[in-house]
Amino acid sequence: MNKIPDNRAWWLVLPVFILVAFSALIPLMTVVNYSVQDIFGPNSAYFVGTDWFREVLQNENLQASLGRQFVFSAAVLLIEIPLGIGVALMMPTSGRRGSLCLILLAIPLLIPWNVVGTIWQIFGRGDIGLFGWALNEIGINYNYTGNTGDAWATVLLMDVWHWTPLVALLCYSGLRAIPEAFYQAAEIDRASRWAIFRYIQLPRLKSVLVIAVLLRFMDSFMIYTEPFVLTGGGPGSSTTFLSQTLTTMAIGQFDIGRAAAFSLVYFLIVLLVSWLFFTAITHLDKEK
Amino acid sequence: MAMVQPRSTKYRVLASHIGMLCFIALILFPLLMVISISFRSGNFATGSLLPEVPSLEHWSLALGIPYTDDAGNVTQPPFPVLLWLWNSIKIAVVSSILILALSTTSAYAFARMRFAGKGFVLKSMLIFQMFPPVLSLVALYALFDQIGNHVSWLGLNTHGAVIVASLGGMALHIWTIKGYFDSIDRSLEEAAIVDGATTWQAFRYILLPLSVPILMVVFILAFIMTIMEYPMASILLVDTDKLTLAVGAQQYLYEQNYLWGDFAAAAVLSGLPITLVFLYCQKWIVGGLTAGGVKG
Repeated sequence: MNKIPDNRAWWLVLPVFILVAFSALIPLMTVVNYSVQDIFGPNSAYFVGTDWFREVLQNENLQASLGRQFVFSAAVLLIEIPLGIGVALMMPTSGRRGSLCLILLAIPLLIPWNVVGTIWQIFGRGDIGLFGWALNEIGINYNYTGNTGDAWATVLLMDVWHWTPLVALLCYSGLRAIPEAFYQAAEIDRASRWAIFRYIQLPRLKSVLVIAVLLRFMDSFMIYTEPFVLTGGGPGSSTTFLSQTLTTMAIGQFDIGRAAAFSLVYFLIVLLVSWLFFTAITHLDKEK
Repeated sequence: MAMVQPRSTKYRVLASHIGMLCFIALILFPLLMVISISFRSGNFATGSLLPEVPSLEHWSLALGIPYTDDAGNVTQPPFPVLLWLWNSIKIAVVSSILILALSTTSAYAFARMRFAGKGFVLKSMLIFQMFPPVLSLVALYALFDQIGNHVSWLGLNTHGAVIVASLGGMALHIWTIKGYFDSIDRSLEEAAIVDGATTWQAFRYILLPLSVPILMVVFILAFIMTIMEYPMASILLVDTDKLTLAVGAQQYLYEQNYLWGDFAAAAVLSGLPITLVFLYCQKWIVGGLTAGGVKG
């Protein structure tokens, strides 16, 4: 039933393809269109070719925010992936306690993103928030609205709080898929706990980890709502990440041509990094 | 997954229990603080975790009941929070049902049928999905503005627009369901067809019942995504009585006047529907994630 090409299948695929095209392809084409024109009003636009791209690539403001974005995504991955694996290993394996852990862990994922930002905004304040207040009480001068380091720490902590549970849940489901026989064999060989982790659990987790790393990279690279609500990008522009720079440019300053050129560069970076990562993983697979 | 239990098991189990408890405490602490703020009188976030004078002020305002304090002053509810909650639930339910139906049928086509351009369509949809959604805000705003001149229920400031905009994020769901369909042996359906079932019957009575776990997972993920969506809804919706709860809750926080208490009550309320759906469906989740994500 699957050997003969059956173009009736297009009827099933077409509605979805149209919807995805509508919400992704049309905006993409609009952005491409904007990126090569200088727009003054509804009826006055001039073709400027690659001028915006050249300007955007030399813009120091954008370079700085791109740099911050890479540092942020790298930090997020370095903290959340190992922590998520650790938590998944610690989770009770079955029964009521297992379900309870699952539900409690999932709670941060169930909160609207802007509320997450606001929760941490309250939590970190020195005068009224418990976290900020507690840090100040034990003698650490903590102020996320004034100090760059503190702002970064708070944004990172918020992201770890928000998304580590996702990594943990994915890893947990991966661990559950390992057949019992693997552990029995390891026991017979008197394998150490580390050896079990290194040679049984980690390799079997690989496909889940690929998904987790890709998801976390893409999400953290496009992060917008949470830092925007928490710090508004400040102090100065120290926690202004790429999407916020872009939104300010497009909606705040109506600098649409520059913003469009920049968003295409942004899109290409996301694609490139994801592709590199994906190729690296599949390449490793083949070598084995 | 039962862990092997070697020699020093007891301490190790104890340590991992303690580690787990610490992590859960860290996760829960900020949330407990918000719940506690919502029961504290006045709009302050200071004070101990357990409010000394618990007050239902913010909750009654959030539920739309005017609140009378001890001195007899009546506060009117500032915003229609229940209406916002209803808007959020309406949008989330409609769009997640649509997402589920559409992505199931097209995943079926991708998993079980061969047709021209299949690989290309699958890959290109995934690539479109990597386009940062924030970047398409401006374009979508202009687009819905134009459409609204012709189709009134799809224009700016309508829930139709938010639902259609949320349908664009379907590619990931299609990939998830397709992966699951691929893992189901197709000889079952072939046997049914040999017995005289139509393709539709084979799909409806054999493949669908076998795929319930992954369909639940997709439904929950879609529900969560749409009910929490902020940037798109905040740009498309304007009128106070059209807002979703995620957008509306932000209205409590002005530059000059932060109504922490009212905000906290609305925030807790906005988490409730998702938590209920999640609690009801969680038994399917781990199974679905495992089956969809891990093969071989």
